Amino acid sequence: MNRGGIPRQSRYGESPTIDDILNAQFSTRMRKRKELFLPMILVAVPALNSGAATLFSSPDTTATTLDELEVKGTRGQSGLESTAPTHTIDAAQIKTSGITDISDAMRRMPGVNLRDYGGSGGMKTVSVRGLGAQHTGVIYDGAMLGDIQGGQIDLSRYSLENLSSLSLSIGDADDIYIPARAVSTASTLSVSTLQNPDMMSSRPSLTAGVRAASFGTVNPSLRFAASNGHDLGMSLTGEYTHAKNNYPIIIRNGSATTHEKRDNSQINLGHAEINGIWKPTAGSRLQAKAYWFDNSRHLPGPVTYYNSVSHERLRERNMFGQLSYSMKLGQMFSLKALAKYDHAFTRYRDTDGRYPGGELDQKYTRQEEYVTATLLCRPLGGLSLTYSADFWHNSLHSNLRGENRPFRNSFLQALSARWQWQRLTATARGLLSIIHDKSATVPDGKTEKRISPSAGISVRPLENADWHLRVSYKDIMRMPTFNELYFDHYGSVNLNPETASQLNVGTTFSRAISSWLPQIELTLDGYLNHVRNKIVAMPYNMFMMTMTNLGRVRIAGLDATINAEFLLAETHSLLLSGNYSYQRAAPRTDPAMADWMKQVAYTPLNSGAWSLTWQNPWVNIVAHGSGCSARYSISSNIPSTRIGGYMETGITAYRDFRLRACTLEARADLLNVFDKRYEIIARYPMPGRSWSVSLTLKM
Amino acid sequence: MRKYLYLSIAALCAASLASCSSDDNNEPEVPVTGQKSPVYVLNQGNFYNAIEGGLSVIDLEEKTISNNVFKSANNRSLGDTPQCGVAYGSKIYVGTSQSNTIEIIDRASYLSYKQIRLSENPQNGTSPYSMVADKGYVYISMYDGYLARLDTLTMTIDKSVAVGANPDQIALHNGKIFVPVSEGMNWPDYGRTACIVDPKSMTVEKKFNVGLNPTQFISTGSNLFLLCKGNYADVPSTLYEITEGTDDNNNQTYVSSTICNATLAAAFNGSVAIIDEPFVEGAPQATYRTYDPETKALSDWNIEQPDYANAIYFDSMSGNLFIASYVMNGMYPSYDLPGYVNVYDTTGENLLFKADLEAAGPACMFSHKK
Repeated sequence: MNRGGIPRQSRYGESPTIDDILNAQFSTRMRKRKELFLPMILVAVPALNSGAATLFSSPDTTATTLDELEVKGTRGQSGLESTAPTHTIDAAQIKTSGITDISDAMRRMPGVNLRDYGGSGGMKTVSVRGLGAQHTGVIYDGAMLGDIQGGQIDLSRYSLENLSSLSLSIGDADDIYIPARAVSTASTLSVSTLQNPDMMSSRPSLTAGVRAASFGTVNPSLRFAASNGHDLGMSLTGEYTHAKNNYPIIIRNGSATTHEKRDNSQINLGHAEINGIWKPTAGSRLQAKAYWFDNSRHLPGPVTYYNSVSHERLRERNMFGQLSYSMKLGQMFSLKALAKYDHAFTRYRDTDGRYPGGELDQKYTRQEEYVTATLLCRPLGGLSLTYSADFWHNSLHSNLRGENRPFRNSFLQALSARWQWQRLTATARGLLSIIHDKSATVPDGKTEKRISPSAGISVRPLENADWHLRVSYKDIMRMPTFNELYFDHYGSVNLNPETASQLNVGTTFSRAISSWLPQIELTLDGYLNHVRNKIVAMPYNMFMMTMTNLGRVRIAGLDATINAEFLLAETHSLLLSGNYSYQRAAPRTDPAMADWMKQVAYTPLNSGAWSLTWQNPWVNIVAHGSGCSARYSISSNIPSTRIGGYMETGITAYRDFRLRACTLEARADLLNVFDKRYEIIARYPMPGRSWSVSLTLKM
Repeated sequence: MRKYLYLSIAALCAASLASCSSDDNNEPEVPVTGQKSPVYVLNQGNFYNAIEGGLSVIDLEEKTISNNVFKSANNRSLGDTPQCGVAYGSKIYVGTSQSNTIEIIDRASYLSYKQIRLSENPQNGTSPYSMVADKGYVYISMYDGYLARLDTLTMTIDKSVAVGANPDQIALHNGKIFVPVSEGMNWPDYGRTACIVDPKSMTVEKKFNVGLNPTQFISTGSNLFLLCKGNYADVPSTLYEITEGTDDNNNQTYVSSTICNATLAAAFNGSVAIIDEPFVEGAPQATYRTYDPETKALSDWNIEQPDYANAIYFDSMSGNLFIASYVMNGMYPSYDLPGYVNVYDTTGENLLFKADLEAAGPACMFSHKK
């Protein structure tokens, strides 16, 4: 996904990865891979804020420059050399590929199956390679987010305004200098924000932006960063989004077609962060983050014939603070640690007359305390070892009568090794999970222990060709969520963990073909996944459903990507980016069941996305699209539940203007140009044609 | 979080699947065997899996079934989650709980006379749950706490009365409407009361205590029964006989006498047909019995059992018994796949034929009442 000409950022925020440490001896590799790293650094400059330009041009700051490069330019993040597939989209690509929001970004990654309930207020989750959204972990600036209640993270809360990069690792990535928890899911989506100031400049920077879009959407944002030009810095980020989301929809009912609006969909979302960094010595850094998020939204519910009335409201508040410290211990060891406290509150209200007192008012409070420490050791030149230990405590309280106040203690340890020898890279990891649950329903508690192995190997067969072959395997378990365990009637305390195994075989290729085709990258991966003990809802009796370990699913698929740059003239170029996925997800629970060997619900056989960018001196133009083939809303694939395929196409225009010391970035988007009406989730229509314009001033 | 909410709603809706009784038109049954008018079946579909329901018609003479007759005639959907219906006079009245409509349909052509959108005028109640018809009116329990009266001549709701939270399957008995106040949305504190409404004045005449989670009154004409679903956990779903009596203060009231555990029940030729499929994990175990109110005897009901019964209906005109069923999906009943209706002879024991439906969730059956 990541082109050689695009800056590659650390997937886990600004903390040094193992590659950062390896890059301490960066100069040797720089010589070997000069042709790749030089353009990378040059193109990275604008993305690192204006101060970075002076940083790289200053001959007196060489030492610090290297330090910064340790963070920003990490080997193994490109996805081409990694032993397992890794796909990264950074801030520059968001612009050059015409990516419009977080769900659009996810659709540009292969193997991703997005569940989008429509509009900017609709929940968005991702399932990777058919394993289910609960197998996708989300890491936000170095620490994994947890939703102990439902087990899946709603990505709609993250905007692109403050985004540094999005990186999806399928299986285990090559970076072993990460917390044990970061490898506890089948795949991880790492969200990295622009958080740190330019540490080399004492001049503060200010970024102010505003975006307006169809359906009453307005989104102002502000970012301020400052440092003392040496070892201390901070940044402050804030944004607010209001959207009515009352987009037109078409309801087809037999021969009748009615044009209505998606009412009761408005959102009011606020988000603020404060980040601080202190570098007491050359090899150490202390970082702090305080995060606040508040979203009040109306829920339109599924489209219902003859009835558009909905009184549902959802309020979500989330606050967390985290403190991380990393340091070098001599030449051989490095250590990093992180502590985090997370508090999330959710209130669901439905003022429907069916409820007692005319209202359903459910309040849930989730808390998490999390600590992690990782030790890196480099006993030999090409060998790196890490040991990481994580502990976190989750609890859930609610105002529901009969709630059982469950909590979970999770203790994870990971022992990882990475060996790099000439043109071969190998990784291996063992993850020990000890998880203890307790609740009023299970007063004696229940403990689950499991060792989950993973391994990967990547080899470059030819010395003079940037061509890699890779094989990786990962075995992982997913603990049942508190909803699955304890929700009255629906939950079952007897559930066992769901397990998933992933086998990937792939190849990557990168080459400069000619002066008019200076860069082309191709990746092709085939995979075979198995899910066992899949937790599914089955009818318990004629009144209700309950959760049980029943399902088995086999997923076989193919992911392919292409990235290329064509130089048309000195100041004109075309950037091509595309991905395609084939995914055959077959339930294999019981031949007597109706879904036997059909296609898992909401999983398309074919999906893909593309973008074509014309970069020129005037206004850069991007045409882009994403789509998938037909799906079914249930796994037994009965014909009436078929949801048609779609291809949504958009056009983006953007240009940066220099205004003395400032830069004004202007962007306009026309989305769903052909007004394609489609659904990703049945009865949750997606918006038709719409527009968006944004202005961002950087000082 | 949103998924959690849907799960909550789904659980409640699953409960509602059962709340459409096997005999929504709980009028006194007078067996007149031999006359064969159609029997109507409402399929609820599965709203959250985008599976549409519909109206099916079983022809007893031809032993055939016609599915989706409303949509075929009107070229539009009957609505989401058809919940209850009656065939009265020349019309069929169908209530949909998700779409919140009352559809008034011509009984011969299945063309719609009128659609009443309850959400546009909610003061008389919304979310129709059960219906009975008598003397020119259709009485509708509305799950938001009302009993509404629909004038069949003007085709409008002319009156309603608040009866308590989540009234479920009502019955007409001795000229009064008996309403179970289930409080089914008030988990875990389900209701323990029922009330009697005078259909002329549309006023609540009396309230009395009953078992936990009352969901269905059943009248055999001379006797009255009440099915209370319990709490789906340690309090089992139970059938009671309701008789007049006195309370501790010697006040006239109605008292409940336990018959047996039951999850489905319907009037059947003066008796009560009972199915009990208790809430246990694993393969469903069903017990079929009949209860004779005269002799107070429970008897085994030897019947060719369907896969997983969801509704029972006795058609007094033909004397046939109908059991609607889910199909099994492996070990479990499927809420997504089309179900079927077993049609039994007048003994209620021998299967005459099986009518395959085209939609999931068969939950409500009724036939014509003059």
